This record gives sequence, structure tokens and C-alpha cells, in this order.
Amino acid sequence: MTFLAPWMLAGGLAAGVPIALHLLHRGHPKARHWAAMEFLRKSLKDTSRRVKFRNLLLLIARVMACLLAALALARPTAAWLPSWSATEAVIVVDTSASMAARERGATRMELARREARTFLESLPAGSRARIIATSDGIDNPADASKPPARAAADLESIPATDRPGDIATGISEAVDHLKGSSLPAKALLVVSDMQPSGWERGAGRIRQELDRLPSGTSVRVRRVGEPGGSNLQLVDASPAAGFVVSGPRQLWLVRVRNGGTERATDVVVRIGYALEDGSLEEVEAVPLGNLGPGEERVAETGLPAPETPWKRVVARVAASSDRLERDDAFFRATRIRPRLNTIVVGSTSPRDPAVNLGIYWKQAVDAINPIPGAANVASTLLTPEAANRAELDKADMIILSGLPTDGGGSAWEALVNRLEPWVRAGGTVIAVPRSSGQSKPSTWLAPLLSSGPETGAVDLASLAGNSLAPFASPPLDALGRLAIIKPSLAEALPGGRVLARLTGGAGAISISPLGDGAVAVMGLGSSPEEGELVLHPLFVPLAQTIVAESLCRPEWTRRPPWIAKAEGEVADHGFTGPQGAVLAAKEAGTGLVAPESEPRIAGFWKLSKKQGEPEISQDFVLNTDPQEGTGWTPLAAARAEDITGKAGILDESASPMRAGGPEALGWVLTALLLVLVSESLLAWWTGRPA
Amino acid sequence: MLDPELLARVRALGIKARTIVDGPRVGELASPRKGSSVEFAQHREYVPGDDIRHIDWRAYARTERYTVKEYQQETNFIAYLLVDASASMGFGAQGATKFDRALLLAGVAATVLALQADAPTVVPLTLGTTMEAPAPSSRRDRLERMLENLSAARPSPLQDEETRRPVVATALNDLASRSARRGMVLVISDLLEPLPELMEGFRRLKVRGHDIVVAHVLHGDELELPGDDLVRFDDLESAERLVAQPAVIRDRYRREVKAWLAEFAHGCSGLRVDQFLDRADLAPGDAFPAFLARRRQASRRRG
Repeated sequence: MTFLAPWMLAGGLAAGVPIALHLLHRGHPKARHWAAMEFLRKSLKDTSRRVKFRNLLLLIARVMACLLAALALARPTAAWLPSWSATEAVIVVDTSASMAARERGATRMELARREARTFLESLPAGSRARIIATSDGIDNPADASKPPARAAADLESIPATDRPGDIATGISEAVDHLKGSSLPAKALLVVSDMQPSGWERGAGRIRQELDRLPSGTSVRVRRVGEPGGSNLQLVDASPAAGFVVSGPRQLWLVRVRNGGTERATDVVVRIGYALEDGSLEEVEAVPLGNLGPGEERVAETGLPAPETPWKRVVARVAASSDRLERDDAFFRATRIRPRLNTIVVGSTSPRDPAVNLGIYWKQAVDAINPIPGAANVASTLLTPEAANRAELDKADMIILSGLPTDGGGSAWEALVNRLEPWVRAGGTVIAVPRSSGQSKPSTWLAPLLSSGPETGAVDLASLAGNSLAPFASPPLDALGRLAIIKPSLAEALPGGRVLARLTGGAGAISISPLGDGAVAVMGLGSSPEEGELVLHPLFVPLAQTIVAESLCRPEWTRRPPWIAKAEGEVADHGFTGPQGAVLAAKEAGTGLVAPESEPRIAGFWKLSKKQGEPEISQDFVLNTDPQEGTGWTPLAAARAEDITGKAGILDESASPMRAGGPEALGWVLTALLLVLVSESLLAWWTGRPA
Repeated sequence: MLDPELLARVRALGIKARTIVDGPRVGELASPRKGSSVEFAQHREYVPGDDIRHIDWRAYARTERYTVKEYQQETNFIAYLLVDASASMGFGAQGATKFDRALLLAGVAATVLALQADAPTVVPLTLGTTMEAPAPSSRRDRLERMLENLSAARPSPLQDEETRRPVVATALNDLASRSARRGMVLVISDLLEPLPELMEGFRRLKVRGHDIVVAHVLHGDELELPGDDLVRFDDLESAERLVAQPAVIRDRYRREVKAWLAEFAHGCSGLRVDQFLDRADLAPGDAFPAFLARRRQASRRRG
């Protein structure tokens, strides 16, 4: 047993108070002369023994009450501590890729199952439990609350996935579930290996979600696996543009971190396409030199992108100092697009019909062209009326620039109607509202936005909400909060800086600090007739991120219905998870693939663990300081311990349990009750008026 | 020492013996010797040798039989006022102890008896001493001396455990063995003594023909046992100490006291001993007169 507030045990000294009072009281009775001693003698003869016994019991009860109160206030934690009433329990199981890591003969997933089973067995009768498996989303959203025994049986069918972790989403679902429960006691168990990539990046959200927990909920967090990394790790391998277009050479970024405690020497990163026999083709090798403990470095390398829909990219890292038998590897199934034809749709200026208001977005797309001069990457600026079906058929992505959110007029609405079947066929839309700071919900865009999880348009305004809601997906969340508002409003915010100005001096894109960690306020919609748009250099990576996110929206990579059907049939191919299943099906030519109309599997990544802490990390932040240049730098986020500490939960591997708050109060009340009951019973027993 | 109001009420009621008592001279009460005194007693048939002056000729005219009138000789009586002066009588607040109440009752009773021309004698009963009764007298100066002697006999704690004896029971037995003339015995005491010995004393006095009245003086605290806190009770008559919490034993204590009073009353009733309870913590003036009134009514019903 451990104590969360051990200093409160000093309160146990209060147990001496009843003893002292008892002795003091006993030692100094009032003296009184008396004549009728015979009656006293007879009365005492019958009652003195009972009185002594009663006093002894009272003394014991009072001492026990003091000790119990001190014990309760010290918040004892132990797995065997009892619960008193039926409990609605939710177990959030981290099923991210790192949970497949094996340590001391068992995978972290197996350890997590063991912890969850122990927890379920400790629930009192009448309890119900729900298992929430969460990776980058909830794997089993349809699962309902059920008796603990059945929930324990379900645990066996929950595998580790090949996806990154997003524990906050699982906790959010758990909070919603607990809020809807009518059972008197509520408990949340989170079992995770607490990878910083999942816990640090989502620190704010985790805190927010835990704050939403119903009052009195018992929260336990169990870490499975060894904390911290101890060797060279491949963190990420991704195309520099966020997407891959077929061509002679595609720039890839491979991020490597030395998570160990020793210096890694002669580090070499290799990247290539995996063949079915496990060998690599088109291998590029990049030497990175030596990496000190904790050091992280990005290798830039290029790969030719053949005209094939899917390739499995494998990145590996090796070092002469590495004692491991095989290289660490990073797999990513990548869709190689044959082309990226973008149409930017903007309204014409009311003052000058020759000026299209989407001009700056066209410039942004041109600036982020991953293959300058390539014929298969092009951008076109059109008006809503000109974006007819023939033009749409040639496009892979459409940016609706300066989209009015209040209806937009017949030209825009007609375009949206034309876009709906185009989106369903696989097109990507970025909708950039004209004046989102005051925009209404884009209800008229609903046909696009509700086209289904595997299709859809990115409505920045809806992502930002009407105020300043955060982006949900990395790495945009590293920016803190991104809102689309008028540049004039952005400039009005304290500390705001204009990133892009029109030649006339008006701001086009601004960044402002917002709240505690907010970074970016993006103002779009200024009229170009005020001058020619001059792009700030930061706009390029910003627009690049938006475009990449649009092409690789996380929800499009999640389990479409047809994947679930194919999953079981290709499980023996050696890939895990829905994306792996799709890839395997594609490579094996089994035909169990998505229809061509739903090809939006952007890929998957899998991090193989060899020693220490495998990690999928995208904790980047946009460097907004012009003096230091533009680029991505590691996020200096709070450590996992900070998160858990601030959230008031434990981060220990020794079966922690939080028994604070209402539970401690329960102990105190129990102790007081014990005293009262003892007093009453004994007073009744001895005939003393209560 | 005397309460004028109480004295007046008691005097108005009078203290009279309920049984035939002997007296040293002619007084208010009946003597067992019948003769030609002033108060008619009964008719009886004439027998030879009777003084013919005593024949009731009116009765002869009605019945044509010779009957003789007998008269009862009225006499005064000796009243023994046995006042308990043991240490236990010192219980109570300053000026309102049981002994103070006993002094008052004894003074009133003695004064009224003297005014009735009876012969009271006041005997203080103290622990460890032999009872010495002064000569009964209704003379004022001797009465005052007796009461002064009584006042001087303040209750004091007993130092020697060996000499502890039941003073009232001992005094009753002494009196029963000494007194030749039948009289009234007024016992004023808390009677915190073994009841069997007390009752034996009463019985022996009754056999001798004494009329016994008991003024049972107790304090309210002795009846109720007030208080809640732990108390060390120091015996007034010995070195005994008992520690107890009144709140815990109160009910049991009251049951004991109640049973004792009931047993005492039952014993007195069987021996035709009149008794009343006078609480020393209450104002004087009611208990004694009320008792005398009840006793007077009972005598009338009986007579």
C-alpha cells in the first residue's frame, strides 16, 4: 500500500488525544462527601464492570476513529482496496503500435490486458465495464458497457495496431460514457505505455478531458513497459510535401532520435521500397554522423516515385555502436499520385473583373510544388462559374478560396452541387471561407462535409469553429489554435504579427499569440485590389501543411467499411491493422480492396521495436521567429509526468490507485459513523441516556 | 432553632400518643388505670363490693339492672426524642444538613410536648457512645438545656472503624431494655442502618407498649443522585471511597433507594410504627404537620 498524502499520517498522532483525555478524566474525579454509601456500593457492583468495559470499547473506538481518519486523509492506494458500490468502469487501452513491443517475454499489450483483467476482477458486484481500444482513434466505437466478465473476455480480441497513439480521444470517449452512466460509482482506468508522442502532444486535451470527468470518478493510470527510450529510434519517415506525386525524385524526410543513454556513432539512414521478399529497392542511404543521447536529426533523401498507386516505403537506421541484431525500421504505405492538378476557385474582384481573389492561394500552391516544373503538378485559377465538370474531371484537388459562408450566391452553390459527386469520386476540397471570423456554420456546405468519413472537404472554418477551436490532427495542433479571421481583426489582437501583406499594406495572413499556447491566427480574405499579395515565407509551410492534411486527412485513413470485411482474409499476410490489410490485399492482388472511388488510404506507418521505446512522434512546432528562419523544430511540450501530475493522476508502475476526494471522505465518514454507532450502542447497553 | 410557623402548626395539631401510655402525673392523655376520673370509659354490671355511689341510676331506670359507670384517668406521658447525630446526618449543604433538620424537628416536638404538659426527653445519638437520656421534664429550663445539649452534639466523622455501630438500632434496644413506663418514642434519623436491626428495635419497643413515631430525614441528593461527571464519593462515616459516574449508575441507584424505602415502610406498617419522610433539602413546614394531621385522622377513625 502507498499513500498519496503520507504527511497526513501524522494526523494519527491525534489518536493520543482520546487516550490522554481518558487518563486525565480518569485521574481527577470530583470529590464529594456521601452518606448513602450502601446504595452506591450496590449500584456499582452491578454496573462497574460494564462501565469499565464500555469505557474501554469507547476508548478503542475513538482511537480507531482518529487512526482511520488519518489513514483516509493520507489517501491510501492499493489494488486490494475495496469499492462499496456497483461501479461503471471504463478501461482505455492504448493500442498504438508501440504496445506491440515485447519486454521480458510479454508484449506491452499482453501486460495491458493483464492489468485490465485485474482491474475488472476487483470491481464489485453489479458493476459494468466498457473497453475502449484507442490508437489514433477509437478502434471499437460500437462496444457497449457490459458485465466485467464479458468485458474481460473481449480484451483477448483487442490487438495492438500499427497506428500512432491518441490517448486523449479514448479518454474523451470514456468521459462521455461515464457521464451517461447512472451507476453510483465511476472508475476510469487508462492502460498505456505512455509514449511521449501520444501523451505530450495531447497534453492539453488530456487535461481538458480529465477535467470533464464526473465528480467522484476514481482515476487510475497504469504504465506498462519500461519508461523512456534506450536506443536509436526512427521516429518518422514522410514525404516532404506531405504527399507523393509520381516523378523522378520525391523528397523524403526521415527523423531519427537517439533515445538511449549512449552516443550513437556512424548513424546511417536508408530508405527504399520494400519488396515482398523483404528486400529493398531504389535504396538511398544518408549518413548522419554521430547522435548524442536525446539528440534528434532529420535526414533528407530522395526516392523516385514510379507511376504505381501504392508503394511500401521502408526507412531503416543503423549505427556502428548499435548492439542490435537488425535495423530499426519504419514502414509507410504510400499512395503515389499520378498527378496533382489543383484548381483554385475564387471570386473575381467587384472592382476589377480581371483580378481573381484566389490568387494568393494559387501562388501558395505553386510555391509548395514538390517537383518544380513537373508537368503532373499544376494549378489553375478559376471563377466558380468557370469550374465546370470538364475542369473538375482534370483536377485532383480544389481550393475554394474566399468561399462565402452565408450562402455565397447561385454560382457558388451550383459549384458545390457539382462538387458533391466529384468529392464522392475521390476529389479533395479545401474550403477557405472568406471571412471566417464572423462566419456562420457552413450549413450550405453540408452535402460536401457529410459525404462520409472516407470522402469530404476540409472546411477550415468548421475546423476552427466560429471562434478558435483547435485543429484536431497533428501537426496542425502543434500550432496551438488556428482560426481564420479577418486580417484586420488579427492585427488587432495583442502581439499579432502579419505574415503576409498585400502590396497595398493590408494584412493577409497574421499570427498572434492566443491564450496559453496558441500560436496562429490566420487571416484570409483581404481584397487583392488593395495591392498585390506578398507572401511571407511562413505561408509556404503553412499552406503546405494544409494541403498535405487535406490529402491525408486522418479520418480518411481510418477503417472504411470495406476494410473490416477484408481484414480477416488477409491477416496472414504479415501486416496488421486495416491499412496493412488493404495494402496486403493490393499487393497480393486478391481483389479485396477498396473500390476505385474510395482510394483514400494515405498509408500507414509501423514502427518496429528493437530495444527501448519505440515511438511515433510528430511533435513539431512551427518556428515563427523570423530571426531564426522558417522551419519545423521539436516541440518543447510538457513531459508526460507533467501531464499526469497536473491532472492529479498517478504515473507509477506499482499498481497505483487514487483514493482521494470522495473516497477519502467516505473513509472519514465511516470512521465518524463508527464512533457514533459505538457511542449509541454502548450508551443504550449501559442504560445511559443518549 | 425553632421555626415559629412550624411550631404554631404543630402545636395546633398537638402531638398525641396513639396507644395507652403511662405518665408521671395527671395530664392530657389516657392512663391504663380506670377509676372515677373525669372521662367516662364504659358501663359494667354491678358486682358486690362495688361502691354503690358508682351505680348509674338512670341506666337502672331504663334497664332495671344495676350497672356501674367506669371513668378513665387522664395522664401525661414521657416522650423519648431520639435524635440521630451520627456523621451521616451531616450530609447536605451548609445550614441545611439532615442534622439541622433533625434539630428543628426535635425542638418543635419537644416544645409542643412540654406545652402539652408531657415530659419530653431529648437524646442525641452519636457513634460510639452509650445512650444517656436526661430525665424527662416539661420544665422550660430543663427543656432548653436538653436542646442545647443536642445542638452541641454535631455530627463528626468516625475515626475508628472498630467502634462503628448502628446508633439508632442500638438506642432502640437500650431504651426497650431500660424504660419501665410506656411512652412515646420519636426517632429522628436518616436510618442508614441495617433494616433488620432497626425493625428488631422497633419490635422490642412495641412489645413494651411504646408508641413509635419515625421522622425519616433524607436529603434530595441521596434520593436522586444528581450529576453526570465522574465523582469520588467519600463516606462520611468511614474512610471508604467509591469512584463512580452518577449518570451511569443513577437508575440502578434510584431503584435501590426506592426498594429500601418500600421495605422500611412495609416493616413499619407491620409493627404499627408511624413514619414520615422529611427532605432536608426542601423548606421545613409541611412534612411534620401533614404527618400529624394524617395520624390524628387515623386515630379518630380507629377510636
